[in-house]
Amino acid sequence: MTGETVPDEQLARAVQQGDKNAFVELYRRYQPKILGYGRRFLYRYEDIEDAAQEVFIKAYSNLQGYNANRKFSSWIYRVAHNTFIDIIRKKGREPLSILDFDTFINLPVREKMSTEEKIAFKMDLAKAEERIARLPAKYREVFVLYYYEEKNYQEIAEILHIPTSTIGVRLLRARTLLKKETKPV
Amino acid sequence: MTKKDALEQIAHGEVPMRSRWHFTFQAALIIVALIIALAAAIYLASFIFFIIDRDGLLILPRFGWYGFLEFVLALPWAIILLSIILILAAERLSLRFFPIYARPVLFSLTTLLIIVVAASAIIIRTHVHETLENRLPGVRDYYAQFDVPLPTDVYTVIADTESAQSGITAHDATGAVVYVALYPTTNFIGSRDIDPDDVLVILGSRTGNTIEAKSIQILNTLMSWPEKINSEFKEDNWMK
Repeated sequence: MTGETVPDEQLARAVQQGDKNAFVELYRRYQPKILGYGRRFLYRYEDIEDAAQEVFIKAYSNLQGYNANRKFSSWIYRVAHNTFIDIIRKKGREPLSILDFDTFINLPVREKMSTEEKIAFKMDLAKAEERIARLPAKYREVFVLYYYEEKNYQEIAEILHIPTSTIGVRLLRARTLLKKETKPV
Repeated sequence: MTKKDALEQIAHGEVPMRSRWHFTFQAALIIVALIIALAAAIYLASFIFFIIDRDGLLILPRFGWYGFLEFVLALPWAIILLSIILILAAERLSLRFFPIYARPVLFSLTTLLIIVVAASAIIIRTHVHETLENRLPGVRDYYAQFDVPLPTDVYTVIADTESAQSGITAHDATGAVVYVALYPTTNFIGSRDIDPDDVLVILGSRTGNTIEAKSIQILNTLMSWPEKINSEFKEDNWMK
């Protein structure tokens, strides 16, 4: 069971039943994505390829804990998120808060981008990687998942285990911080 | 490490796959911990309500803002803090489950708080604590450790005479005769008509056997008594 058309969830179920080849197919599909996610989220860190490998080892090891009725991509990104956060914690280079006020209540997000602004913003992203890397981890990760990995709010909520309303707030703050950095002195 | 490492390790059987039971057991443990934390929080919350009722603390807010402040200060904060910690722990545990983590923390905390308060209100109605206190050996002594005294400027006495202009004679729980001095500024909460055998709760200051009353409330004989006042005045036959 390794065809292109086979859904991820079906492959994952096959791995759960002992089909190691199905995991090879999942690896082939997700390795570039997880590596890309790691490279952007852990921009200033070394050994990102090792971290991505670690994600697949953990994913295989914990695959029986995956509920095949839910989206596989959210699950493996969740494994990646936990692995990358562990790395940040171990290196101790940037603070990670346990409790964030933005997860407490539904905060309204006022800023809305027009389609033109969105296109211009996406074009600017290519030049902004270094500035994105300087964003605090909690804003950087949501930003990477939304703009680079093209996950929607629901998927990001499942990956990070945070309220969907918090994602809009973090994206807005990330954009505001990026704008501040680009302002001429 | 090379890019093929993860797949090679898996192919060579170097990465064991945890069994489904491992995750079932883990989820069961979390659910059990969640239930224990919630049950403990409910027990403690009902115990707090029980103490407030038993020790007559609800009398205090009737004295106005000052009384309300006294009420807040008299609350069993150690137990309240412990139950808050348990609710927070239950909330953290519940965040592992979908869709709880997709909602704001305030939503899950409020939901848990409503569950705890509603369940403890039901427990209070079933008089579980009174039953435990009266039937199980040792529980009365244990519960007595959590006795919350009324503030030192609140006195409970039983009137011996009818109300007069300047004051009344009464006796306290020890049987000592006290004179309750009344002033034009004395605030009566409810009725001003004091009859013999009325239980008076007085906010004021005591010098010797004289209590200068700032505020007075009469506990009507038809009211249900705080258990503490009942036991303090057990010598007064009619209160038994």
